[in-house]
Amino acid sequence: MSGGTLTFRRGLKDALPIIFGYFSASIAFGLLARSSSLTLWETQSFSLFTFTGAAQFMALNLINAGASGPQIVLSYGLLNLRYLLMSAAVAKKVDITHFLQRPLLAFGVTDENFAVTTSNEGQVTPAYQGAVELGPWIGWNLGTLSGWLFGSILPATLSAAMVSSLYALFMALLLPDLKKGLPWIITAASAAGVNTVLELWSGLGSGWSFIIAMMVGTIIGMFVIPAAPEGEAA
Amino acid sequence: MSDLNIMAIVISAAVMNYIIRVTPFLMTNWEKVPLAVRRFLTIMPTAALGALIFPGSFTSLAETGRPWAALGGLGAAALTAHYSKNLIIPVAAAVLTTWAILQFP
Repeated sequence: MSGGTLTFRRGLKDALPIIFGYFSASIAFGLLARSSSLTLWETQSFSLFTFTGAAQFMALNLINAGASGPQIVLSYGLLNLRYLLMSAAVAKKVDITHFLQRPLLAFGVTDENFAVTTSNEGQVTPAYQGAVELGPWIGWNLGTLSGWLFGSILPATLSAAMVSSLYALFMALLLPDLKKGLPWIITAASAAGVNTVLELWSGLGSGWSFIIAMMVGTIIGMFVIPAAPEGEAA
Repeated sequence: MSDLNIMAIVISAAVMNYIIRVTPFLMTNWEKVPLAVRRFLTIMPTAALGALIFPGSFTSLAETGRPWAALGGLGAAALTAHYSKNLIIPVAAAVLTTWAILQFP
């Protein structure tokens, strides 16, 4: 993605795949939230105010597993700590022209739009970044609304299958990491293994299982993944 | 089904999320953060994704009685993501594959 002027319109165009992907994944979120007995407003609030795919699904899982409020919020924070790096990369990439753009553009950084923004060769304009965040945010919220309202019309097997859209999204995001080599595979696999063992057999509950698995996997990763020559977020 | 205050969770999560997202935007000396911390944060998404996929992709299908159908969806997603950067393709491929597997009597 290079060349041309980085207008708002151009941002929307670049964000189109994310908008579609988010729309379908968030239908599953809306549906799942309703079946977890969340009200429409509670469900929509998650998408409007936190706008964070993986963590929203995790929150539903934890709610269903009977986790406590603080456990859920702590897991949310730990899972989203990665945005510190992504936000930093995006912040460096945008040519800020007004100080208010900082708090505004910080709101909608996600894994996917971070990837789109950083794939541009040079700096991007605030308008472009605004579009890359706003489009997916609208898609995510419309999908959430549709999923809660109409998701139950879908046949049971289809709605069960739609939940797999999230795991597909995770897999699609994980695959580039796995391609980086064995150390990265070991990192993901150790977190996956620890989480599976703890969640299925430890009785700790999903909240702590996930946090422990993520920490263990990351620490193992710090040992096996060679240090990058420059400490830059990839 | 539970006595959780969902809105309190949403608000706490939203505030925490925003603090995480806005801090780097307000920071001008990000380079001064210790390398080990940056390394931890760089690697954590990979571990997080691993833990997000397992065992969740399987347990989410528990009600269908065929949790292993997740393998089909994950395989389809990995295969299509290998060839396409467009996220919607792995998402669609996984839904269709999983749905097809669940259709078999």
